[in-house]
Amino acid sequence: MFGAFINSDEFIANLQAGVTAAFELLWIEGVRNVIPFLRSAGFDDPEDIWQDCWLRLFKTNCRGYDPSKSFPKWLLTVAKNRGRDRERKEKRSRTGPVEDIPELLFAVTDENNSGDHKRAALLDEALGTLDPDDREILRLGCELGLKSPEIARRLGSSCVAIRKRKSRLLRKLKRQILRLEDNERRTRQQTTRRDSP
Amino acid sequence: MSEEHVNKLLEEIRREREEETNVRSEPRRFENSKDLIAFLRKLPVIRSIEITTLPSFLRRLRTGLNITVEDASSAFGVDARELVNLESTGFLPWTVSPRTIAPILSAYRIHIEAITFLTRNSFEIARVSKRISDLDEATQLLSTWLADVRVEFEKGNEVDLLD
Repeated sequence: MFGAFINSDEFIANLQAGVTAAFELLWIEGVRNVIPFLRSAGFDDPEDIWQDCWLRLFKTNCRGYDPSKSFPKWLLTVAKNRGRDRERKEKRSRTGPVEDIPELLFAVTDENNSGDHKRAALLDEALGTLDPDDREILRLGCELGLKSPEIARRLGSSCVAIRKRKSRLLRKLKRQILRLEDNERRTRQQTTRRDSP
Repeated sequence: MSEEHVNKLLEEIRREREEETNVRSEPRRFENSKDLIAFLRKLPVIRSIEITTLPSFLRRLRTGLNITVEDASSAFGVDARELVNLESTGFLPWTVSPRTIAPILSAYRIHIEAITFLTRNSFEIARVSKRISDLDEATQLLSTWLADVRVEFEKGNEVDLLD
């Protein structure tokens, strides 16, 4: 069972402010609770999934979390989605052509450019909130650069439907990123206010 | 967090899995190691990558390409057990010689910036899971290791992986 502190406002605030000690506690909670959960759900590599999950949360300061909801429930859902995503990618790459290598993803890798990196993390976080089918459409369109007819052919849908869905998704993603940026700004302001004499 | 919530989530995962057919294909076959390396060299340079660690990335890249440990280790000139070790969850990349790992990374066409990103992720995981006893020393080792991998790429004239 998760420690009682995990739903506390202080712990959540510390995570969202990027306090290292809070992320160390989160790691321990994950090892105790998330890994067994993933194992009982039948995922092949629960330790690895939790590692990736923690890294994402660490880099995004858990900004995707809505404080009005239960934190443990959100955490398990994030871990579950991560595990399912990996399974789907692995399945796809086994059956697909070479360009379907599993790691054609969005994150920018320039560690020296923190602006780019933050944006990539925000995008990553926003993508995590989408439905897996929607993520797949974006992956095919934005990462692999496939046109709507090709995506439609691969997914067994009509070109018009894919075109509409893609444009709706991009709008949704943009809104989600703006919301996450707002949350981040608010958290920063609260921290500044708290720390000022 | 009630048990009911956990069970609900577990049920959701089971249902999602049932809706998908489990398709598995045979491993990709190569005549010899040269063929495998030639196949890998045709892949585009990997610059943008998911937030994950280097060992996890290497394992999933290989399995995603349907290449067996045996074929890969023989092509890279390393022992199969060593390759499995390099790909294992808790492995610390900077503890392996850059001379050993650079040919593997260059064969997979992984850009140096992507390697830096993945290795730093491995470092964060090692730090939070208390597998680093001396943080300063490990930080120094990591920087030296990355610089040495870069040197190995330069020696191999891997311009595409460095620009």
